[in-house]
Amino acid sequence: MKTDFLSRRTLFATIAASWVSWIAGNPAPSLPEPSPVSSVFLRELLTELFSDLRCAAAIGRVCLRASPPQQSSLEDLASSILAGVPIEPKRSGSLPQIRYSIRERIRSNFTEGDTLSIDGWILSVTETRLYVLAARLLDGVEEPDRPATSG
Amino acid sequence: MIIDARSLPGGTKIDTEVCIVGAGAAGITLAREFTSARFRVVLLESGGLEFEAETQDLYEGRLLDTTLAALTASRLRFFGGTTNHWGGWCLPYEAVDFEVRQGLPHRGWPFDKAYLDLWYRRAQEVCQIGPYEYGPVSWGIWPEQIVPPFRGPNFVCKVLQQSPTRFGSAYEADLRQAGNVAVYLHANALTFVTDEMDKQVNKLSVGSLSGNRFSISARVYVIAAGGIENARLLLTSGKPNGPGLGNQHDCVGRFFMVNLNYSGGQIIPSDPYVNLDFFSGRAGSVYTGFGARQGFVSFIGLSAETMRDLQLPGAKILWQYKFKPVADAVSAARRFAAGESSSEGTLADLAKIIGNLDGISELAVRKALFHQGLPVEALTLDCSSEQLPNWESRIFLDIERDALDIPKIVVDWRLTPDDKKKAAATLRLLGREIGRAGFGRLRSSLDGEDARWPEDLYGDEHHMGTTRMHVDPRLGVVDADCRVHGMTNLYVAGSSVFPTSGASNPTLTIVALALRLADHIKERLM
Repeated sequence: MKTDFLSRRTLFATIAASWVSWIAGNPAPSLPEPSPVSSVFLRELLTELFSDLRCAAAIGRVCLRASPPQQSSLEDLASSILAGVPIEPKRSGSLPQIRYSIRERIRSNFTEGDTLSIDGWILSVTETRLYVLAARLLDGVEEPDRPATSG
Repeated sequence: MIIDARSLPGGTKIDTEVCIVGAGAAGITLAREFTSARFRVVLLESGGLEFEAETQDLYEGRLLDTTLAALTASRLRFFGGTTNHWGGWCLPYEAVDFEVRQGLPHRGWPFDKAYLDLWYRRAQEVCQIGPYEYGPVSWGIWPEQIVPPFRGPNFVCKVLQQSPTRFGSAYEADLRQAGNVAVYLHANALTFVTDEMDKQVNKLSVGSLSGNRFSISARVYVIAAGGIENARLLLTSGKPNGPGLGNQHDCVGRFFMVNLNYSGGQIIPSDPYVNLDFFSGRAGSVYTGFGARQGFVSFIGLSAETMRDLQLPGAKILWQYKFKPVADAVSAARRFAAGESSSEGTLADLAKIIGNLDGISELAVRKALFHQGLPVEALTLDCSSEQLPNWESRIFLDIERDALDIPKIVVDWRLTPDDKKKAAATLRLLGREIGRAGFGRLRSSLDGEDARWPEDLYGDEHHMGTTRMHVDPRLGVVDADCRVHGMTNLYVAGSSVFPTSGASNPTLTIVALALRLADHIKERLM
């Protein structure tokens, strides 16, 4: 229970930081220094999103080989995923709502053409980042060696 | 009556009012329209009533690109023509297919779809299919059955009808009994003999493989020998060493088009149990709502609005189901429920988690656990695209000659970079729409700017464009009446007159245009 509490608190901090930057229209600020706890929180987020984290990570590895993400750290990656997710930090922030927001954002990516072609798969930018996040969380993967085509 | 031309005395001269070259869908349709007329009609057929290898070999030619369907396999040279082995798919071109469109050069017909509707309706009867209804609702497919993203705005469900008709066997009796129609079998059109200025055909030289030679004199001649042979006959006619008939602007044989067939990739549905009953697939379905059993095929296509807005050519998209083995699905569902997984490649990985992002995985698992239907692992896409008109894509005469001493043809089939770009754009749009709708994800076979066509690309049997219709003789071989530009009494029927195509199969349009030409000729002669 304690872990759950802590993880959500940290996650909310992430979201709050992203939310502020989203409102301000600026890049999301970096999260607090990485810690084992924050990784746990991100894992919790991904576990909420994916029934099978290992599959998501496997795809993330493909994405990493095909398309190097601009974000250099886990935290930056998390920020870019959550930036623009319109969550009011005090009132909501439940994982199901985050899940809903991310889902809507993925659909918005597809509508706007914010997609990447990864080995032929037409994927939204947001979900691609999620897969990469999963890969980085589960195992440190090597940096990519070839670019992807933009969708 | 039906006559074997090999039995004619050599040098026979036959007088008639109308001479039709070729007894396929167009030629037979024309001749049937004249059975009640007061003028005489001669219908020439190169083959007999059945397949003969020696005659079929007259189709031999040289393909410079072997991804085009083989010339001797894609056509049939006996009474009934290629309808002797056609698939029977009938669908009119859409209004957008007739339009001149920005961004798509050389596109457009001299008239619109509404004008041709009259003859399309009559063509339905000739092809022995159902009423002139192509909306999915007319075939029992209700909008709510069609899952997003296939109910607009970019992709929609479309329907085509399946004809059972082999024109030869279906209409042989009509022509045999007609007192004013003479069908000559084993009668090959060799060359049109014209007046001094190549303005009028005076006679047609005809020969049999047996060596027999005779001639036909008619008031009106119609070439209905197929999308390649029509141009070939024009090129081999006229003055010796001349450019051929109707070829004063080097248009004959150019703009050769087919439909482009290729695998489009794979869709992983978010819900392996998604109800796709609206889609019949290539095998088709049967509808009895019109009082008789009528076969139809429902498929996916671009909406007219999207084709216009995004300057995309037509595309017909069908899929085949790749089912998960049931045992695997059940065990996967159990693993899923237990929080376990196994990694079996990107497709399998995506298949397991796409539903999470699209928000339907729990439903899918529940269905799996309760054995509701067979789970779909992937939909494998079969695409058929319209080829854009291309001046450089052409047929021309070879130096090699066939058994009748007629130059064989060379087919220099060429695609443009735009053909591929448009196909890739269509698939990319499909991928986005599938993702937007939460239907799943698409792996496109045309990935990226420098993507190559899929290895299974082939140009199909629908030969079009080589005597294209255009009001301007510099851009077409025949005018809007299908009369060869600059000639008084020579017409062309068949898909060679199509200035542009769509993704629809061509035969219904071939028949509609033949009916229209028949009306024109009747008016001219009566």
